[in-house]
Amino acid sequence: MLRFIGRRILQVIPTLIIISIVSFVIIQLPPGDYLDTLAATMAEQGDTIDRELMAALEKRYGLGDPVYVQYWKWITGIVTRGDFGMSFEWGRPVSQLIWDRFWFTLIISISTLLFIWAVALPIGVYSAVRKYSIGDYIATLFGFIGLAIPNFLMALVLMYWSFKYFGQSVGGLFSPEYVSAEWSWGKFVDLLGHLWIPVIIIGTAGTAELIRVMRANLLDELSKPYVETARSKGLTERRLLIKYPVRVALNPFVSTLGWILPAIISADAVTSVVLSLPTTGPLLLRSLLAQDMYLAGSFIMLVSVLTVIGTLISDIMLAWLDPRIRY
Amino acid sequence: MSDQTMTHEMTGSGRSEDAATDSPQRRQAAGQWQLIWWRFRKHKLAVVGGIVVGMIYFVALFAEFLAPWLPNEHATRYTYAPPQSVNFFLSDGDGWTFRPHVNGFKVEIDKVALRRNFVVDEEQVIPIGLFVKGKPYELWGLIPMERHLFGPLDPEEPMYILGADRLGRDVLTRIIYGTRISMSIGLVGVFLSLTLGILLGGISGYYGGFIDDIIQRTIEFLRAIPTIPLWMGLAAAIPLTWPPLGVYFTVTAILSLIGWTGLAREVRGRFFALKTEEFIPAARLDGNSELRIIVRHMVPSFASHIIATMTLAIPSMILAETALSFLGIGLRPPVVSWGVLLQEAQNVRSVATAPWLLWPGAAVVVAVLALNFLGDGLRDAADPYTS
Amino acid sequence: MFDVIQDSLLTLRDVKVQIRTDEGVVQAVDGVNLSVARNRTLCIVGESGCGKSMTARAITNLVTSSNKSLSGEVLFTRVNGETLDLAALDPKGPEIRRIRSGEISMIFQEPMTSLSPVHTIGNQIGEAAQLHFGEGKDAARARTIEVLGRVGIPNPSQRVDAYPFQLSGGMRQRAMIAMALVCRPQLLIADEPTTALDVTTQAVILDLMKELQAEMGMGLIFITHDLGVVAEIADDVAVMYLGRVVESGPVDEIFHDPKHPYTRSLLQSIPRLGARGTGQRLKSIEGIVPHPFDRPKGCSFHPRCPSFMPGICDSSDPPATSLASDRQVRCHLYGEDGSERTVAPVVSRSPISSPDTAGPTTGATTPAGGTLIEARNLQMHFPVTSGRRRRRARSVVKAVDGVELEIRQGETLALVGESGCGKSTLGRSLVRIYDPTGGEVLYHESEGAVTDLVPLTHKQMKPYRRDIRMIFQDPHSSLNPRMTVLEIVGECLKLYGVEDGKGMRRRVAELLQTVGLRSEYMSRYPHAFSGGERQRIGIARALALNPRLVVADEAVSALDVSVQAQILNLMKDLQEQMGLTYLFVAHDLSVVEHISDRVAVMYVGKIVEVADTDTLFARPRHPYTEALLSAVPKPDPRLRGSGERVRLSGEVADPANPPSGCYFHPRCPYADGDRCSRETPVLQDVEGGGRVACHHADKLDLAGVALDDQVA
Repeated sequence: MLRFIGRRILQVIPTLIIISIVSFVIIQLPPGDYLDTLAATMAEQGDTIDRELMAALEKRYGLGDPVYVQYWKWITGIVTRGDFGMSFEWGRPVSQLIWDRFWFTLIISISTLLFIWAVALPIGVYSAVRKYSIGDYIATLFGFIGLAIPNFLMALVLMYWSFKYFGQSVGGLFSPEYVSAEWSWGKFVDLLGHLWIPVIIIGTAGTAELIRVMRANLLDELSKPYVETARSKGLTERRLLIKYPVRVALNPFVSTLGWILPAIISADAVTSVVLSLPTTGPLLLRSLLAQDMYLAGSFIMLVSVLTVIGTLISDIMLAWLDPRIRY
Repeated sequence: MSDQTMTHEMTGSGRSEDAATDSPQRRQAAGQWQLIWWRFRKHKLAVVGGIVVGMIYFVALFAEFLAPWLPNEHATRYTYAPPQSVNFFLSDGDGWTFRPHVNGFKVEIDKVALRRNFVVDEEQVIPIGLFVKGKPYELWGLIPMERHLFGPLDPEEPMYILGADRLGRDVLTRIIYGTRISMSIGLVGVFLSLTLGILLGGISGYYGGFIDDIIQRTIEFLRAIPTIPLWMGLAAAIPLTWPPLGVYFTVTAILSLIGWTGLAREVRGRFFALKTEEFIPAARLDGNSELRIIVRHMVPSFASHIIATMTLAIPSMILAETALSFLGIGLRPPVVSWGVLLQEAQNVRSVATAPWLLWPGAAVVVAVLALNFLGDGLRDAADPYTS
Repeated sequence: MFDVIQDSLLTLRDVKVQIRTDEGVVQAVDGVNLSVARNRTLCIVGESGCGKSMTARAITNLVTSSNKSLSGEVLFTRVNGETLDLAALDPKGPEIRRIRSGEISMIFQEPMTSLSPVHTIGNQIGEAAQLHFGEGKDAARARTIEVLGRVGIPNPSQRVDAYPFQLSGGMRQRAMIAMALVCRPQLLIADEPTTALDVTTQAVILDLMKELQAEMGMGLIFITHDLGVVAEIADDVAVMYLGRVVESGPVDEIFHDPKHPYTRSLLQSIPRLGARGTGQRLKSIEGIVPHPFDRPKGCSFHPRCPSFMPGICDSSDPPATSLASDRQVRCHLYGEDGSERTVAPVVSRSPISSPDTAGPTTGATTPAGGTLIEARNLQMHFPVTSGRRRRRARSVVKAVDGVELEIRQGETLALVGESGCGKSTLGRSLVRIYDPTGGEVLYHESEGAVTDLVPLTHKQMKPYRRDIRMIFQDPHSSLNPRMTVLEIVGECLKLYGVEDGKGMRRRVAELLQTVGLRSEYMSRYPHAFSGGERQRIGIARALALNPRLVVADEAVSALDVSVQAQILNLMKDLQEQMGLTYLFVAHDLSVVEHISDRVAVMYVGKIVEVADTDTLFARPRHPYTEALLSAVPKPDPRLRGSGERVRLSGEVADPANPPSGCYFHPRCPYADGDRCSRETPVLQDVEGGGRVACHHADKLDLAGVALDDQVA
């Protein structure tokens, strides 16, 4: 098992390197280099930029150097100093801007993931065991509709309703009085009170998908001979269901983490824009529109790394669950 | 050899094809597509989905004719005019006569909020009809025409069945025109993905081994990246100065850059499944060349699966385009797509003023639902030889 | 034979299982009456689709579900003497579960899929003990280890923590048996428990089951399609056809005095080991088992029955007639008092599918001509790529490892061995589906030229492919379902430029008639045909180009016995008509003995013995051949226990990592510790003809199959 984990972690490294390259390419895509943009922005705002600072920055990010040297300086800066570059729009180091938002993205993503699993697992099991029952039809219908509604549209509709019927906006993660308050129990409770809206919006499509996955897997497993073996041993229906087919069907369920996490983070980006949540999404959008590329590239890299780690965890969990992979 | 096969056949749908139309005699002489059709036909929901998809593409094809107005025809007088309902009968004192019409508006100025409120004016009757003369247009940019399927008899009078937007443009007209872009971006994107997917998936599955490993790792990598942020990054790099058509194709290309992975996996899986089928070596022994084996034996075996997978891939393309355009980094006005239209509804204030701006969203949901139903039915019917 | 006191353990009375489908109700089990006593073995036998497995599942009511229902009585006598009707119990209730957990156990066919892949065998076996005895984990574990040892799993205290995929097929089936026996049940139901196993493993498992039964004194219901197994293990037999028991009685009477025409035909259609030399055709049963939907009116067997009496058999259902207290038959031939009617079958149609008289009964061997094709030091090594990613070191599986083999013009050479021995790979290497990694395949053209096929490219191979054709094992996957029969059979004609258009149609029609199919069928697709008919299409395709050599890769092993006999007869006829040479790859030695002139025995990629069929069966020279022959169950209960019994221990060697010296030495009862484990024996001529690869071939006197009184 340890060997497996070790090997799997080693496999992640090339992926991380490629992600960093892709992010760097995105940073480089817009014409002109970072300092030109910075200077132009400063000039627009009527500031002139310090020549010395310019020279220092140029040296730090190797802007005059060939692209691969620039990449090397950029990535070593991140890895060794946590230096993601400067955001010219905010005039501050990227690292100061991203972490707060990154944590909120993480919180929302994990909550959504748990929500999806908690909802999809029992419904999927029910739907498979009671195939063609009314509940199954409702779950299937919900599945189709959940997949068809873009999450930003759902966010919009929800906002419209709450605006119309409650006269208030559902956006944000905190009530006004807590937005800039220090962390406290009250603030935490307030966060939970707001969290469920984005979690449901972001999680609907994933839940719908996972119900279908679980249902299909379990239906496959239910017809396998080992179920009959267990029944012929005299197990109760419930016990044999949980111990055997559900347990086996759980494997593909866990491995869905690999693709459901990227989907959650994608959905989070769009939904956060609509609900103006303090996650990476809105800031990423804004930085992209403003071509604030170091900021944008850093966000893209961070969320990608997050999903790669998620996939890694799901693989390890899967190996832990399924001896056929472990050995 | 065992009874298990038998019980399986009996419990499964092995023999449960419609006895009425496909009698055993007909089944025995029925080819693949016939069997697929018989099986597909039993999924009522899929058939309905297929019909709706057909209708949507029909709308996309004849958008100019079906829309009552032109997409960018604006009238500031009617900014955020609410939807009018269509009445077919008119009361003229002593009875009802058949006279399709909508009612006009009365405008009241709200002195406090300093904005105009539209009130439907029951008195004002705007007769509407079929095949009316309206603004001239060119069907497919080629055939000059001026008839519209329906509209007010007098083209100067307002008709906003689904309301008007910020510039007084007809939402219905714009949804109809948006159908063309949104549905075609799905098709074009899927075709691009398909080309990539069949090429790479086919290579992967046919040769296997080292090449397969590399392609599989690439796919795993692409699937591990959250698509929306990546798309956002790439799409944002499209210069603002590009012509709409260029943006359209670039956005499509970006979408299919990620979308091909699913299709490639499907194609590869099919190739691997076919490798265990004995009729492939049998065909080789019959003197088929490798090319002929692929074309004559392999492709027909998975064509139906590919069509099903494609159908299921279109919705995700549509959803992705909608999301990107909604965020303002996909297609941009003056191009009219459902996503671009929804951009109008980006803040809650405009939605509160004009909730009908969400109608394009309904179009998205209907299209995606119909395609999913259709694709699901196709997938279930794609292999008529297993039960 | 009638001395048994009917201490009945289980009695089935008019048991029916109905399955509701979209098209209507199917009677999968249609009024079965059976009974089994303590310490006795009842075999339920029949072809596929006759309801055997469903009957087995009906006993502990595993059948009741949303679309299946059970009726009738299942009377079971519990340990405490109380008799219960199991069919009347709630199928999910506690009473039936108590019975299932401790008193009636089941063993299923496929041990791999019948065990959960993600739980250790100890967990799955111990669970039954915990449930039944209500004991704790540790006690259940100790009991599990004990029973694992009892069923012959080496190292039970370690293997208890193994997962099913870590065990070989035979070990898995032992684990299944351990699971069934851990609670010491009164009745054991085994559903084709040895069908998925090799014949050598089957023999060991059958021995084990007999032994355990004697030890525990339980009743055993054994379901199988293999009459050899029945003769080996049964005390009583019930023959089923389309959901009904058509005949039942003590095993000796069933085999030596069968009453029902179906039983008779079944017994006649199996090739019998040792019955060679008579040159007989097999008597096959006409047609196939119909789908229960199309159950014929009257006696459901009447369309296939050689004693069919019009007006009687096709109009009324035959009642069950008791011939003796333990002997029942369901046939109109027998009057109510059990007397046999004298009515001669009036139908003029021949009882047997193709006329017995046709086809001259050939001598045992066709005169073999010169060499047609020979393999010299042929090798087919596959790189190991199993597992998710490629494993550490690049190892190779030596599926075919230096094979020397000669096939002579006009003969049938059989290639036999356990699964995984490389026999199919060898066949496929000869026809160049695989590209051999070394050695030569020398093909002797009719003009006398000799060509090595191994270095040829696929293009260069093309002219030779006309002469060397193949019949595949699986009649379902070897025909492209998307092409019509005309296209399937005609494709090679077209591609070799032999015939096209009308000429092709004519030729295909001819071929179809040759293999016994109606030529109108050529516009149909494969799904319209049964397994046997599909195999005929495969044969037609192989013959289309007038080949010289046909490689038949397990061509009959996927078929039911009655259909198997039809195909074997057809292949023999065609050989005579067309002067074909067959390489017949098979694992069933009875079939091999019936059809082949010479036999080559393969073990882990190497030929260990080649000889004339008669010589090899009468006097095997290699210990492995002896063990194979000894393991084949003889379809005659009177021969039970006769002859030498050689049982192989251990598993077939791993071709990726074979043992040193003679590959067979770890399992060989005659191996000496020295030479056999160091030196690899080579194939050498021995006196009496034939070639053997064994260091001790000269010294050993091995037992073959007795050619005694079976022809009776």
